[in-house]
Amino acid sequence: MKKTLITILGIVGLASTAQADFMGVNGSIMLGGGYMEDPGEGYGFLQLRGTVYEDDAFAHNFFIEFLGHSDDAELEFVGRGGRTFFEDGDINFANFTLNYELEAKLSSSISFYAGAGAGIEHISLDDRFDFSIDSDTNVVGQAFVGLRAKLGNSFVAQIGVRHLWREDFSLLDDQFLTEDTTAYDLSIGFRF
Amino acid sequence: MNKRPDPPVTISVRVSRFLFFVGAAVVLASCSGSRTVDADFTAPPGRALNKTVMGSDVFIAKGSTLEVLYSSSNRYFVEAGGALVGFKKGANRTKIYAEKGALVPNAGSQSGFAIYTVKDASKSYRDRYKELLPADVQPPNANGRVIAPVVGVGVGVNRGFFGSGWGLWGRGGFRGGRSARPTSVRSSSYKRKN
Repeated sequence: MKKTLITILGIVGLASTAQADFMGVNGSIMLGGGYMEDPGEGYGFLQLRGTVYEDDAFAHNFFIEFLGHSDDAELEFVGRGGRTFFEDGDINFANFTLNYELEAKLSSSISFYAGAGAGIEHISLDDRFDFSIDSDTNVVGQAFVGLRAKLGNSFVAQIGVRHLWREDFSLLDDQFLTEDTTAYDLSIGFRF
Repeated sequence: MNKRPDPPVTISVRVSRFLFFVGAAVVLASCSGSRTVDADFTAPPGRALNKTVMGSDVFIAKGSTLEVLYSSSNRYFVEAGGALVGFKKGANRTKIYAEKGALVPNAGSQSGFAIYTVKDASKSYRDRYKELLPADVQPPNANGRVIAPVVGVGVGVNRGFFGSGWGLWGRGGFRGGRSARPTSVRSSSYKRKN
């Protein structure tokens, strides 16, 4: 069910972005990275954006965001002889969120933005050969603010702060704690 | 009826017999202990040892020779110039990780062990808990005689290389002979709930 929901969300997002230009909706692609405080990990993200309304002062934007980060893991195995041994692995976190953003234009090239979104966080545990061991899916939410600068007619750059609300996750028989966290990011985008 | 006490000669004979049996038992126990290895160890260089080895990981450095009488559930790591010989009483569930140039038994003439070629036996020995199969775990289709090349410190298992990132270990029904699923996971950044 969760996988189906993720798939539908992705398809809707991609389709809406692809069709944005044809329906009179301006679109853009934003690519960026950042750092979240808890855990102290870097992350990357991709936004597929569409502007549904825009005038001289404001713009209403929707976007689908894929945000991911990774963490090192240590897998514990018990052999048939009872000997315990360990293997390196990875825990990958992928957030798929649908977001609304209000953009207030401070000048012709600088704007302030704020918004919020919600979606799904998919957590997967892989061994050192990228073989999937286990996974979990939770709800995630975020609120964000930032400043955006136009770079010519086609490019934008932005700096922002976001707060993430995340659920605890479970892998194998282990439960892990997550803390709501603040994150800081930089990104650049292409408008079409 | 009064019992006559034993003469001093009889007492001394009994004491001597007792001491003889105790001494023999101690000697026998100490001898059998020295000839059986059941813990990880490194064969000292330049010496030929005659051992029964069970449930151990053994590193044989260049210039060392280890003669094994019987081997069960062991992993041997043999550097080039090192020698692992013997197995007169056989081998069971034994894995040999040998560099090229190491002297190891002929897998074709003896059963009960598998031989893998590694680039660096000492590194394989150091990383043995992370990288290698336990000795008592056999890969599928292994009929007791397996010779396979190894990339890096990984283990060849007939059809795949761990170090090269593909193979049965990570892609299918065979999960390297370890338990089919890890029992636990630790994250470097996220705390586990109690």
